[in-house]
Amino acid sequence: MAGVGFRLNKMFHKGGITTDLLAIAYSVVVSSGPWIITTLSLWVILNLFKIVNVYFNVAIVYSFVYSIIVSGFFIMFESRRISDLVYSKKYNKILPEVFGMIMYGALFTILILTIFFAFNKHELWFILSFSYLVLSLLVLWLMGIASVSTDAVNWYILAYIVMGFFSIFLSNYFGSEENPMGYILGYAFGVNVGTFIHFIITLVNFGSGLSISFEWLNESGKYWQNIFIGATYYLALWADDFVTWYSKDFGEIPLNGFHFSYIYDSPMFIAYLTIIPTATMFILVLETRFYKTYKFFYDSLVKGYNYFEIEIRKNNMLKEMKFNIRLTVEVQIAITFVLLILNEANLLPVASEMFKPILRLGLIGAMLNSFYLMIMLLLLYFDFRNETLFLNIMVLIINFVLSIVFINKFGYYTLGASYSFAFAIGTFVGYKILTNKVKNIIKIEYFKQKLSVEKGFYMKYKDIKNLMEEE
Amino acid sequence: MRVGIIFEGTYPYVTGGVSSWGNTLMKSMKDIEFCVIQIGDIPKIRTPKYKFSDNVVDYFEYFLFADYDFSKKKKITKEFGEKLHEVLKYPFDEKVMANKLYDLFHEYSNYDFTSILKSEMYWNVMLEFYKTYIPYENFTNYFWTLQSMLLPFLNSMTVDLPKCDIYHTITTGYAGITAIMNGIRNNIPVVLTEHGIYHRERQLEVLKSDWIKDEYRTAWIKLFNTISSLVYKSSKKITTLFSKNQMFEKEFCEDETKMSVIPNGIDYEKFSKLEYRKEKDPYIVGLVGRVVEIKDIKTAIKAAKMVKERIKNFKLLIIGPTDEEPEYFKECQEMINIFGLEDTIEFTGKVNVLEYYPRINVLLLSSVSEGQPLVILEAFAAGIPVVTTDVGACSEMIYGSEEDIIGDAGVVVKPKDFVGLAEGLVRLYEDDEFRMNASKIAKIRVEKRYRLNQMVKNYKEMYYSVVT
Repeated sequence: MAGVGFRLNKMFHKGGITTDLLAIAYSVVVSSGPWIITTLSLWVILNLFKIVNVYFNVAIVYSFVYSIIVSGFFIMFESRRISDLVYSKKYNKILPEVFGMIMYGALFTILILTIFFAFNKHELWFILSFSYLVLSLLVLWLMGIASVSTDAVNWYILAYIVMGFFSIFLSNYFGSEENPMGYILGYAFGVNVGTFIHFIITLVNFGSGLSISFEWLNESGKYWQNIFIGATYYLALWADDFVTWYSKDFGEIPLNGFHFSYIYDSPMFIAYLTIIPTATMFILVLETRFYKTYKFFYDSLVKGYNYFEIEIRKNNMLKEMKFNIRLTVEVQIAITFVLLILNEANLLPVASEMFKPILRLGLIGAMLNSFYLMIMLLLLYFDFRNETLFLNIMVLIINFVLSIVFINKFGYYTLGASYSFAFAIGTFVGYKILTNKVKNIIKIEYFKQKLSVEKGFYMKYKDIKNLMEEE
Repeated sequence: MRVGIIFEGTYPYVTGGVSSWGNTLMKSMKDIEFCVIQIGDIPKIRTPKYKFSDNVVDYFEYFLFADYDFSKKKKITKEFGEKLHEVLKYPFDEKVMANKLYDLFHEYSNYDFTSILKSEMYWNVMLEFYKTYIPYENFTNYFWTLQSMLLPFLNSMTVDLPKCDIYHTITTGYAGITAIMNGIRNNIPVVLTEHGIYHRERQLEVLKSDWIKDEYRTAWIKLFNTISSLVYKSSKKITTLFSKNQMFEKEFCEDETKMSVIPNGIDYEKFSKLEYRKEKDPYIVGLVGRVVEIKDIKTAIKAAKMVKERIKNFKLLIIGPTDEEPEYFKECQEMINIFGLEDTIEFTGKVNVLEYYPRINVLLLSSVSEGQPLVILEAFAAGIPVVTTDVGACSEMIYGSEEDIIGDAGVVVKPKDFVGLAEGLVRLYEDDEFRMNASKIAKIRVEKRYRLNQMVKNYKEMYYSVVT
């Protein structure tokens, strides 16, 4: 998110309530822009325009799930690769490499969809339009990463707003109850418009030879963890949903092969939205206060300070990190607490007695999920990739196993509990790892570096004899 | 019997002193098999300058500043780290530390010692030293300096040499540490032959070098001293070329009974056949050696300038390869041009010295560092008196030792003393009796003390004495 911190600092330095609020709003949009806009556009389509076509609804939800999970294999690695290219000022390599990743992602998606539709028969129009939507969203997520890496954050936000508008407009324009394919394709065209804007933003800022490059594959060995960090996180996030969808008691199959759980999905959908405050706070403090201490610390390593100065800067960074975590946690707890009360008092828009217990656990789970996400991002800030991957796999397994156990043993009242437990454990373990690592960060950073010596080899009798003979 | 003979940066890649000695030793011991072990600095393929004799049956080379994969070896344990920490204590007495390390390495010999650089113990000890001794220093610089100081030693301690019946190391330092660690691991005796005194040479280097910051000089010197002390303690026999060296060895070696002197030897018959040139018009002086800085050819040129002013028919032949340090060779040529000595000094390049000894009246040696130069022995055998700087065993060779008081075979002056060298050359020119007397003494001395067969016999006896 190059440039975000700078802009935020600039806004805060201007002072005054209006600029402060603007800075906060700016953080909200940057951190949760895609999430808010896609949710809002969906809400408008489903509630304002009352489109309840089963094909369209299934296509929308599943295309999001599919595309996000597949993009998970790429986005962490893509972010890292783009950062490296920006750092080495090889800007014109960015777009060709993103195209290369999109091509791999698309082929992978097509493979999954082919297998899926081989086992689940559907009409051709649905297969094609659904696949097109999944691919469009995948391209959007991957292109969005490239676009957010530029300084043009305003344009990045605008791309999502335009996308939301066009998705609503075009799905209504092309679709009807008799023509659900129009809804799906219309929505996909809207997504394409957003993707095109992201492409233009990237092209204008980074330039490009407009070719496809697979050079990033050479680096995949170095950052292999990044490939799995994104995917395992999304799988951990969705594990309880999958188990519920496929359970006998709570799952439904509106279309062949497409599982849902009306009772679980609706409250959890609301719960997921409550993650926005943490994301906002986090962006706000991470990119402003924390980043300063982080930069001071790393500067002291690079510029050759004495150990005591380095240690002081490390302690400042640790103190700032803990303060920021506490601040974010307090804000999120307050919001979740209010929502919990509103839920108990049936004051939430989707409130119903049936959803209430699930939403209760969902709100707690989402809060813990947001804490976990914050810890995960901080770990990645310090480049602790192995630890992050370990945490994600741990949370994924816990969520999956507990979901099966709870659904089969305890039923309805524990729906959402596995999600809360998994992320509570993940947050606790992650926090412990993070604080321990940051305490020892000086040692870790020095040990991470390798002495610049060449790989050693041995010369044997045959080798020297050959050299003697050559001579 | 198979002897693993360990060279550090010399044989078979560099000609001269140690390499020439090693090559002669191996060639002369037909009934003993040798495994040549060479320690290079950084990983690279180089062109060997020697060909092995038939009894060299194995070869092994590793590099000090290199990243080796020792993952098959066990990483060092916390317990080892704690014990090592106990050893490295103020006031860092080299002999005390070496004694403790000797015991420690017998307990822990087969580990990946390079893994220490990533251990908690290393970090703590390194930090403790930093905070105690140089808290103001750039920490990043300190960290990497220490790593690059230690890596060559740790590689040397960890690397597995081919199995032999004896390891014969030609220096203490890296060669010594790899010899003793492999000796301990495989219960193989180690013998040491020092041409120069390693820790003393390193000490001079450290004190003179600009790239080592003052803060690290003591640490470097102490490290090399400790390693020397450890190698002395672990070696079954310690030999050197001349008795003056033993004075420095005794600084860090407690057991003097295992110390002895084995002087270099040459093929007396081969060189004594050459006829000494008595005719002194023209007066021809020869400097046999590579044109490199350590031979201090520039001092020889300055001396030649002074001699030329007094002896008109004087000539200096510089007999040896000129391609090793081209920049230095160029500087020497420029100096000759400035002094107008183009007709007086001649560089022969690499030639057969046997053809040149009969053409010279006196041998000149202007080196700033030597062990026991073979060229002096060769010249002596041919009855050629020598004017030399006082380095290594030169003084003992020219003036004789306690048990050899037959007289002077030339003149010895301080290193860099070109006036002294010039006066020595003039004296040998003007004083015919002194020159002819020195010629006789030189021949007798080398015949009595510096014969190759005697040297070979001494080393062979040493090998058999340590193998049970």
